[in-house]
Amino acid sequence: MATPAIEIELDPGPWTEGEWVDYRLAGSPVSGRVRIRALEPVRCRGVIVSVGWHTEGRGDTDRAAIFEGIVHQGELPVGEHEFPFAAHLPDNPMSYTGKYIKIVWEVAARIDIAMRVDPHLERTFFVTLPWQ
Amino acid sequence: MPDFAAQPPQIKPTARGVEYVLPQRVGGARLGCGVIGILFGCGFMVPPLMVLGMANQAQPGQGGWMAVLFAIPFLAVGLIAVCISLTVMFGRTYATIDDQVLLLQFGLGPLRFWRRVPLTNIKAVMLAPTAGKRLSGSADVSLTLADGKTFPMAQGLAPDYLRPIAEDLAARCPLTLDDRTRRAAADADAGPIVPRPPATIFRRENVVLTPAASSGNWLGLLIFAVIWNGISWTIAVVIFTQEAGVCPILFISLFLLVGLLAAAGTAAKMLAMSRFHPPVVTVSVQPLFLGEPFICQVVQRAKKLVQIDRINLKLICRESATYRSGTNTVTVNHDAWTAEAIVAEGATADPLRPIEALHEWRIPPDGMHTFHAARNKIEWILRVHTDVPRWPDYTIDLPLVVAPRRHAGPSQPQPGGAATGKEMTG
Repeated sequence: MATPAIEIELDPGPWTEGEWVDYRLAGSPVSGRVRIRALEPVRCRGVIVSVGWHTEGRGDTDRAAIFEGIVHQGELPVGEHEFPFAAHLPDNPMSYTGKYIKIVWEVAARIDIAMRVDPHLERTFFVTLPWQ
Repeated sequence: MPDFAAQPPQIKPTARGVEYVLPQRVGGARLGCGVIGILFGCGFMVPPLMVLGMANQAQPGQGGWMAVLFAIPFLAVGLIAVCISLTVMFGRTYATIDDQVLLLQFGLGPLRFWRRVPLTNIKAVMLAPTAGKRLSGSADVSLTLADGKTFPMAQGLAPDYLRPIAEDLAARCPLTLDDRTRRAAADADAGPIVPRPPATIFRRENVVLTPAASSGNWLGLLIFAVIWNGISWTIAVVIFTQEAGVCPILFISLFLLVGLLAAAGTAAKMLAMSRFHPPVVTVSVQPLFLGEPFICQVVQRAKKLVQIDRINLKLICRESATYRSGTNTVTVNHDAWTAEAIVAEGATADPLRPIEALHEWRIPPDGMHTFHAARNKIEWILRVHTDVPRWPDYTIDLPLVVAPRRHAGPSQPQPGGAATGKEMTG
């Protein structure tokens, strides 16, 4: 079975210029869509989309998902499929890059296929804080 | 018959909050454990007493200093076991709640085990029925901390007694991460996402900082030093007097060195504490925001007339990462941002006139807020180091909380900052 191609697109955030395009404000919504292009029918149990953060670096990984949903159940037919998602970011934590700890926010899409490695894609974005 | 006492908790108002004295549970389990502990402790003290007796018989009036050295650590362990057992049997739980901290104490008279938990570190307060048939009808209160760990606050008591305490404590804790996260997840399933204003963060002015719970570790070091030195010096004396050779002497020297270092560390801490009370540090507002200026006031009280060289203040943003390496758990720390100030140079303090100093700081606008997870933490710490000439210095670390919010300054910077990995400025 050919591996389906996955693409994650985020809806525009509060900033549209240059490097700030991928920034979102803590406490605000984050939405977008997952596109899956299947060249042949995909026998899967479903498509799962999650939004959350995890840590990277020297320490063991901590992670939390603020949203996890099954956006599609059952087999995926041939063609392009689009699954929208939306979640409300919590007030914290914000994205952080340090020497031993990195906090990474991401949208992850996974196709749940039995007895196979699940195709997946992660799209990183940055969460920054609003002003009081 | 339920295994909990019939008396309600005592409620005593304190200067900044309230103290709950929970009723003592009457139960076979506590008594049984206590009796076993007492028997263990007494049993641990019997051999050294026998050795002392035999040594005194062999050399009447002289005692035998080797026997004494041998006996000290075992007697110490036995006495500690007996004291802990009596506390388990007859001790009571005290919960003191003020505007910043929950102080949980369990003890008997002056012997108390305590744990200090900042209210900002409490994720959830749970009141649940006690598991187990013997205690049916009773309840437990447990706390879940920001790092996910749970520990019991009170167990096996009437739910009507525990409910007011749990509700009082929950009302004093600021809004937690988990509540916001759960509501966000629930909202995500409920339909279109509507932007909403950030949650209000409740702040308090002129907050006195309290040290972290780990500040009492020196007592553990003291116990370790007594036991380690007692055993290792006894063995060393036997080796030296029996002229066992170079290798055994070198081997035991390592243990003696560890014992001396432990003793020196304990002695230094005790000497430092003999002259000073813990400094009282007040900050103008808590929690702080990124980019916010604040004032900290340090009041250093002395137990006797003492002149100091200076008080070093250090504001630290520290990353702590914990990982497993084989069977070991290792924690590494990195000070991502620091700022230092020297105050009160050449000042003198006595019991009636403490040293007072003020300093203004500013949390860097591109910094990181306080973050706690199970294995990774980012903390803000204010270190107060009192430099005393020709005497061990006195150091204390006080945790600060920096909330996930930016202070509205004269100009709003671009986003990024801590997310980009650039070094914090300010």
